[in-house]
Amino acid sequence: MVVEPLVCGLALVLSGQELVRAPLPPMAFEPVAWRVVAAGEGRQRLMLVGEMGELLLCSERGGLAEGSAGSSLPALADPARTLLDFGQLGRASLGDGKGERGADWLLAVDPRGLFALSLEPIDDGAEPAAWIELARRAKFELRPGAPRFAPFLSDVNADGERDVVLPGDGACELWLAGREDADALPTFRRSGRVRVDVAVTADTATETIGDRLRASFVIPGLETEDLDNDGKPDLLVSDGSRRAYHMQGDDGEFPAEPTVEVDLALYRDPAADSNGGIQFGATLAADGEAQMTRRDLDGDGRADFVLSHGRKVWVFHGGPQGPQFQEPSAILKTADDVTAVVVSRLDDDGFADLLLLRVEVPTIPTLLMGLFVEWDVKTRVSGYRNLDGRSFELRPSMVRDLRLRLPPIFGALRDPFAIVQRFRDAGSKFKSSLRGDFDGDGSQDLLLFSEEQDRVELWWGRGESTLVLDEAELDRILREEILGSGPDVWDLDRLLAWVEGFAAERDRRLTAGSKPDLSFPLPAPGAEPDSKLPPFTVRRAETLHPPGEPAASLLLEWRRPGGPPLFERVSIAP
Amino acid sequence: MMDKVCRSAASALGMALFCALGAPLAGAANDGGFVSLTLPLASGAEALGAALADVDGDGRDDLVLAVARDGARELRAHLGAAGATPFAAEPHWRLALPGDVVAFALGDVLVTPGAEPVLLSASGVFAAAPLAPEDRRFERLAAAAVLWQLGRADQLPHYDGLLGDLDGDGLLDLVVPTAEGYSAFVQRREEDKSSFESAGEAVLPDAEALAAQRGVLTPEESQAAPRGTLRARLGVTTGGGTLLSVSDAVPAPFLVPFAGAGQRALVALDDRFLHVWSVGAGGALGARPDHSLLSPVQIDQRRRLDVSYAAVMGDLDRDGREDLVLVAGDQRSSDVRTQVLVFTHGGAPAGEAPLFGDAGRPTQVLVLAGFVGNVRLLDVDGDRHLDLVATAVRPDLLESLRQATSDRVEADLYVYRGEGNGRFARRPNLTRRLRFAVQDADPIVRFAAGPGPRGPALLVTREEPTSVVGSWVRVARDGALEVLPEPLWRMGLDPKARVLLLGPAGGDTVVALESSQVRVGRWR
Repeated sequence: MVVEPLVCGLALVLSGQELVRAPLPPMAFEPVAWRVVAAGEGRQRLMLVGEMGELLLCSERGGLAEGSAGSSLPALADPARTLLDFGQLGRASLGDGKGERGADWLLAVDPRGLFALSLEPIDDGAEPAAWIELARRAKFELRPGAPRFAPFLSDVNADGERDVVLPGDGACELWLAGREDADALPTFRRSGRVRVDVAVTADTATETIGDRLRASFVIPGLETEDLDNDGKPDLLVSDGSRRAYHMQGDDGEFPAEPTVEVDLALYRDPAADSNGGIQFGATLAADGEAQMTRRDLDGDGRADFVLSHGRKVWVFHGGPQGPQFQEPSAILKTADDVTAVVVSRLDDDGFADLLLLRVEVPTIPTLLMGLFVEWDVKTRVSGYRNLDGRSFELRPSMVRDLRLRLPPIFGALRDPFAIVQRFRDAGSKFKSSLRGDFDGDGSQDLLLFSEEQDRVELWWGRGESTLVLDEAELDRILREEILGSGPDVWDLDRLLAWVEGFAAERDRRLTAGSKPDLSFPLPAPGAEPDSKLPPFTVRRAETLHPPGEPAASLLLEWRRPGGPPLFERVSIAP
Repeated sequence: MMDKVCRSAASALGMALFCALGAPLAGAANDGGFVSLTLPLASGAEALGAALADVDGDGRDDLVLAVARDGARELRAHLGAAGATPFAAEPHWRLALPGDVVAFALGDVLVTPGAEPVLLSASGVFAAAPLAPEDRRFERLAAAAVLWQLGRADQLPHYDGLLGDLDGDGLLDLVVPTAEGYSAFVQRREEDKSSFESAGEAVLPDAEALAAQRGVLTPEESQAAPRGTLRARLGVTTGGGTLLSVSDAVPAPFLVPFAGAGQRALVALDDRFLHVWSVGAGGALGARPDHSLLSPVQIDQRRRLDVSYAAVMGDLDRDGREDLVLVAGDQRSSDVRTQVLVFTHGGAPAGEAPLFGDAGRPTQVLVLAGFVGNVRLLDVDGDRHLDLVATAVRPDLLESLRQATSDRVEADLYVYRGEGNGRFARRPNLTRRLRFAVQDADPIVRFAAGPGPRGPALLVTREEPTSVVGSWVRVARDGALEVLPEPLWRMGLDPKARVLLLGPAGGDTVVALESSQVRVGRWR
């Protein structure tokens, strides 16, 4: 674990072209995490967490930071084994009628249970808030090594109460929130233990001193979706080849036993290679198991399912009771083996169609020649139109042969970092954005960082514009830009150019193509004299609207290798 | 010399009696000194790994298999045998493992004779007595925040770096990797009981902070980096998202003589430094390393992707101190080539930092054409000096055209003989062209223990997916090495089998883990 040094915060006020800095007092611990938390009445505060469990709620008064750095909160009892989350513990739909909420609560879960701490500011001299036990049996038994924020507080069953999902070994534990009294804190009851596919890596090689011992795991959250269009999210469980669906009842509970189950291993094309994997010159097949895709195919708002294996495709339409795998609506037999099925709209009839992808693994001679010259991975895309929501074309009405052209293998091995850098350069075209009321006029503004992150641009009143990659947008990208009338060959240059073009289009949509209303440089904090440390770079930025201030600020965390982090607050006045 | 002639004659006779392809499906075979055995697996069972250890204390290595079936895992011990079969066909014991076991080792940690399974879980280290009653089968040896927290039902890694003799009393001690470094526990033994006492926590320094403190940051960190690390969010979420992601890594630790003969140290090489913790009295380890030596090859973003990078340790000049060889692609050359940098304690200028000196200047540099892998230090020619072994793939267009017609990838195996003075021969003493079939099977090229107690090593190769071959290495009068054309033994196996080489001196046992059986062969 990295031990990070002391924080020394600075605050700047930009007035016109003038920067004014006022340092905050240094904090007594080394922060490993921080969040902007609600302070009530639509305002926010900065909360810092130390590796040893220290908690500090920063306070700012007026336009300049002054006085103490903030309020120390009761420390965490077991910092190496604690997960943190924050949010409102009142009912999600409650408020003061003006759309503003109270202060957040900080939730912590460790081997002792689930606890909550109020983040309401306390007056000087008053007793600090104390941790309140919410559920002694809701335990977190893993070891992140230092306090870690994780999104375990969420309204899983959409009943207006935030529930708790606790990650564990191979499963997540669901604790549903209830409330005996509208003014009381919620109570939590254990609803069940849901198996999830945890990705675990354990490298133990010790052949040479250059080896690394690695340990990692990724625990997914619970997947929910309203499968039967009854307005209530249902629970989807994936456990190996088994898929289980727990339909939410009217009481907001998920049944312990799945309402519907399906084993993908039962869906096989006898003619397909049962082992899957890579065979040179043959179709790429993943793991030899059937694959499943889910989407509403007939426009009834209910999830329908498409399974594929080998050259067979099964379509199951969901009904009022939810998913069903008894009666397939259609069974397609394709001319070629299928690598993957994508459900996407090929036309404008409102029904999602089927795209069958066949990726051909190159032959050995191709690969061997590919050591020195460019080589292609061929992919055939066959489109089967959805005729009436229930049935599909028996033959594809659209067939497109695409080629992914890859650079010579030896060239890539000689300098793989050059390729990585090209992708990074393309990725950097997606400008980081923030939203906030930076001028205090009550409307949300849009702030974009430049690619070099040394400049900030503002558009007043454009904070509501977003670009969300929803189904419709993904369909459009697939239909027009990948399967459109352009060339069939996608090489690295074309791929990266597309990514950069998409980034530019994103910026255009966010800003409506207009010039920024304000633009100013963002120089890195100056280095100390004789310092050998390299310059600061921005590690993270958030919007912060402190209590008592008319406008939001920009909160920056600056980092440099080997040195302590530095926090800055930039207030912007037009 | 006559001894060598007799051995050659014996091996020639053995070859004449050799059975070319594999052993029968259910049985053992003895072919001219190579004995093999096939162990069938029950339907649905999968062999996860294997290791050797003397579990019954009779002085003979036994085979321990890790097997999974129906979501459960177990270890099985097959006792070593003499004669026509390398191991007993029936397990001496079977040990069902708790679900929280993340890795295992084998070693003598209890008072009962022989080695026991030593199991790692997230919370500590346990020993198992497979033949004891169920209520006394598992015993906690030490509590520690073990690096690996979660296991998988279809994996059971063998971690052989867990056990070592820290205090030199002949008993095996524990070096447990954690997210921060290594926790040490020394074994104490009384007449009827063994116990483990904490010997300290070796904490890995923050390499980046240390580098900044010493003013030795990498060029990419030192320049005015125009781009920070902000990332744009595009709002695409699939499934339930990630609830928790934890990732830790520490360098593999090694217990070696560093400051002199008998003066052991725990060493670990991270991206920037070689950290050295001297082992104190009673096996004690301090928290801070005694040395953090700046590595002459820094692992920056570019070097992290270098397929040729390797680091190996061995006493090259037999002065009782472990030396270091670093292998890295030459990033400044327009040709594809790899540098081998040799650093010895004896070569470091007096009064300067150990091993690397103050300037990080190697005592010897070798340059190999192409990408290099499989780098090892071992005694190939039996002269007790460590030799350098490496395999290289050279980008050659004409070769590639030729290979394209044969579906094979060619590589060159090199052996540079150690001269015993910390240097290797300037040119390879053995160059062997290998031709690997391009299939979904792990190729193997390793030097293993030779057939006799001393003498040249055996070359074990898997150029074809369907067989593993052991070939004898001969030392010519002029010091050149050559691999005899006729293999000493050949063991057939499933093309998708995973092959392990186990045993001392590079190994004397080959284990092929197949889908429905395990094939085992030994040649000593």
